[in-house]
Amino acid sequence: MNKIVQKDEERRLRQRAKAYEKTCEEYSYEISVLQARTDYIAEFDYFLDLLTLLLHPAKLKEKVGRPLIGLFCIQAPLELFHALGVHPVKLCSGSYAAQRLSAAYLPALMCPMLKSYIGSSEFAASTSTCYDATIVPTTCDWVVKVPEIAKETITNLHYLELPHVKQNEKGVRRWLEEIYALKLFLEQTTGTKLKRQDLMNSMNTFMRGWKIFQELIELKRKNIISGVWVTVIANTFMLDDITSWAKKIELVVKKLQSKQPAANPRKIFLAGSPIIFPNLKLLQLIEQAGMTVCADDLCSSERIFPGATVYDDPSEHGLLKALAERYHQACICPTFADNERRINTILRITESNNITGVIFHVLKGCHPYDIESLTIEATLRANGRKFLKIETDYVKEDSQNILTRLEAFAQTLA
Amino acid sequence: MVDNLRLLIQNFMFVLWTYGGRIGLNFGYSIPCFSCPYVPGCAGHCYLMTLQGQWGFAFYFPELLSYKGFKVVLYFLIFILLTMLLSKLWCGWICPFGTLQEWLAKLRKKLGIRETEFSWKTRERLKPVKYILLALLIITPLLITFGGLHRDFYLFFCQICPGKPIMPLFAGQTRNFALDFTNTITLTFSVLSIIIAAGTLLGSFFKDRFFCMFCPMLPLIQMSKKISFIRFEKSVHTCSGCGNCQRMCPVDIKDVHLEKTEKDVMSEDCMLCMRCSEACPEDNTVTVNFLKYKLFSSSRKYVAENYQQGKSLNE
Repeated sequence: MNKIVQKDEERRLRQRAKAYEKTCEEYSYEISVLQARTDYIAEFDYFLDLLTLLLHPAKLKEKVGRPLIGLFCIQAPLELFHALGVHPVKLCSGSYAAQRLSAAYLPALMCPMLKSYIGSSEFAASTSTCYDATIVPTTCDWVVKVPEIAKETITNLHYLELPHVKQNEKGVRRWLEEIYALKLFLEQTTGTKLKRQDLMNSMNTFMRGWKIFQELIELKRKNIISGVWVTVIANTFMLDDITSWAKKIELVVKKLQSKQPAANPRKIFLAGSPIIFPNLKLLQLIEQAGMTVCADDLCSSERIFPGATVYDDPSEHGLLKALAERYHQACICPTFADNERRINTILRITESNNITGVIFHVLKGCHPYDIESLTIEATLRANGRKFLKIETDYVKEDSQNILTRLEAFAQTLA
Repeated sequence: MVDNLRLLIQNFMFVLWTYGGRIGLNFGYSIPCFSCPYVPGCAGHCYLMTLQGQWGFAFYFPELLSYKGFKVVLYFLIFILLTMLLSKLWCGWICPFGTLQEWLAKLRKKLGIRETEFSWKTRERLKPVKYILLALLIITPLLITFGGLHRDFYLFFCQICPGKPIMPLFAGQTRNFALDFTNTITLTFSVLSIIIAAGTLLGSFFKDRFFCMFCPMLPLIQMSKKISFIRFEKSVHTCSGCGNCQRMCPVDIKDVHLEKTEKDVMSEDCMLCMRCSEACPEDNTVTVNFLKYKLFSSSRKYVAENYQQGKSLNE
C-alpha cells in the first residue's frame, strides 16, 4: 500500500517538475518573441528580466530587500504595504503550462488565471514560504474560493471584505473599516506601527509612479508605443522597488517621446478580463489582424494604479480614508453592483482618441466580465462604437479562429 | 496652483475688508460676504445687517415712497447684481470670516489632527438650519415694526453672529465679548453670542468651514443661481466616480460626486472654492464658467502636476 502512495507521490512530483520546466520554457519563449519584435528597444530589457521573477519569489525578495506579501486583485492599497516596509506582489498568473497542471482536478469552468495561479503555487521554486502573508479581497467568487483550494500554499491569510455597493455611505464606511483591519493585520505581521510620515512618503512615491505611468499611457494613445509593451511593463508592476521601476519607465518615455506616431486608422480599445504575461495571445493576434490597442481598462494593464490619490486631511485617518476611497470608488471591477459609470471611461477615452472599435476580452469562466459585456455592448453600440467580444481560454489552439474574427472586425473599422 | 491663488486672494481680501476703511475705502452696504460692520474701519458692510436693518421699514407705509424705502430696493438690487457677478465666489474666495476658518483648519492640518466627520444623515439634518436662520432674520424686523416685538431684538442675527465678537478682534476691539446687562434680552443675546463664537472657533478648528454649514448668506446667494454669470457644471458622462471631489470639498458635498444626470452641480452648500475641479482627474469634467469663458476646467495633467504633494511632506 505504502508503495503505491509513494509511487503516486513520485509521479506527482515528476509532473510538477515537468510543468515547472514547461512554464520556464513558456516564459523564455514569450520573452524571445518580444525581443524579436521590430519595435523592441534596449530599454525594455529591464522589464523582460523582471517578468521571470514571479516564478522565483526568493529572488524577488532579495531584489526588493523587503518581506513579500502576496496579493490578489487591485483593491488593497499598495501604499499601506509600502509604508509598513513590506512589498506587495500580485499573484496573478498567465502561464498555460501551470494551468494545465491544476486543470486536471479543478472545475472546468473555473477562471484560467486562477487555475494557472493554483498550478504555479505547486512549483517547488515558488513555495509559499517566500510570502509572509496573503491578502485576498473578496472580489469574484473564484478569487474568494482560491484560498480554500490552495490552503496548503496560502498561509497567514487575510480577507478584505469588499463592499460591492460603493456609492453609498455604508459601502464607503465598511471599506474604510476593512482598510483599518488591513492596517492592523499588517502591523501585527510586520511587528511595526504605521507612521503617518511613512504613509505620506509612500503615497508620494506611488503618486510619482502613477504620473510617469500616465506619460507612458499617453504614448500608447498616440500610437507611439505598442499596447503589447505597455501591458508587459504593467505586468512587471511591483516586481521591483517602485521607485527604480518608475525610473526605468521614465527612460522608456524619454527614448520614445521624440518618435513619430505610427498611423493606423484601426485603433481599438481593449476591455474585459485581465491579460497577464505570458498570455499575450490576444494582444498579438489583434496586432496581427492589423489593429492597434491604443487604450484598455484591464486591471492588469492600465488600471494597475487606481489613479491620483489626492487628500485634504493629512492626518493618518485622512490619509487612510483617501486611500480607501481611491481604491474603491473608481474601481470598475465588474464584481461591483453599482458599476454603471464604468462605461463612462470607455466612452470618454474612445471619443477623445478617435477610437471606434472596442474589443471585449472574456476569459472562459470569468463570469463577472461575461455578464457585464451585455450591457456594455448595448451602450457602446447605441453610442456608435463597434463591439467585438472574444471569449478565450489559456490555450493556443483557438488562435486561428480568433484571428479570422479579428480580421473581419478590422475590416469594419477602416 | 488655483488653491494658492485662492489663498492669496483670500488673505488680500481679509486685509482689505478689515482695514480698507482706514484708507477711505467703502464698497457699500450690500456686500454678499461677512465683512462685518462691527469692525471699526471695515471696507464694506455685510448685506445681512443691511437686510435686517431695512427690512422692517420696507412695509412701513409712511416710509414706503421715501428715500428710505427706495434704499431698501436699491441695496437689494446691488446685492443681486453682486451675486450675479460672482455668485458663490464671494464665499470661497472673498469672505473674510471664511478665510479665518480656513486659517484655523490649516493649523489643524499642520498638527496632523484628523478632521471631525459628520455622517451623510447628520449633514442632511443640519441643512435646514441656515434656512431657519434666514427666516428668523427676515421675520424679526417685521415683528419689531408690526408685531410689537421688543426693540432689543433689532439686528437679531448680528446679535448672535460669531462674526460680531470675533472679527473686530483684528481691529483691536474686544468690547463685543462683553456681557450687556441692560436687560434680559441683551444679556441673553450677549451670552449666546459668546457661546456661539467660542463654538464656531472650536468647530472650525476641527471641521473645515464649520460655520458655513449654518450661514444664511448661502441661500441668499443661491437665490440668484439661475441668473448668475457663474456656472458650475459637471459633464456627467465623463465622470469616473472616483470621489476625489467629495474628499477635497471643505463642506463634504457629495452631489458633485454622485450626480449622474444634471449638468448644474452648484448645490446650496457649495462655496465655489474650486477644489473639487482641481482634484478631478478627468479632463473637462468639472468646469467653472464665467458666461461663456472657462475659469477653470479639470484635467488629468493638472492633477498629475499639482498633487504630487512632495511639498506636503513638511506640513
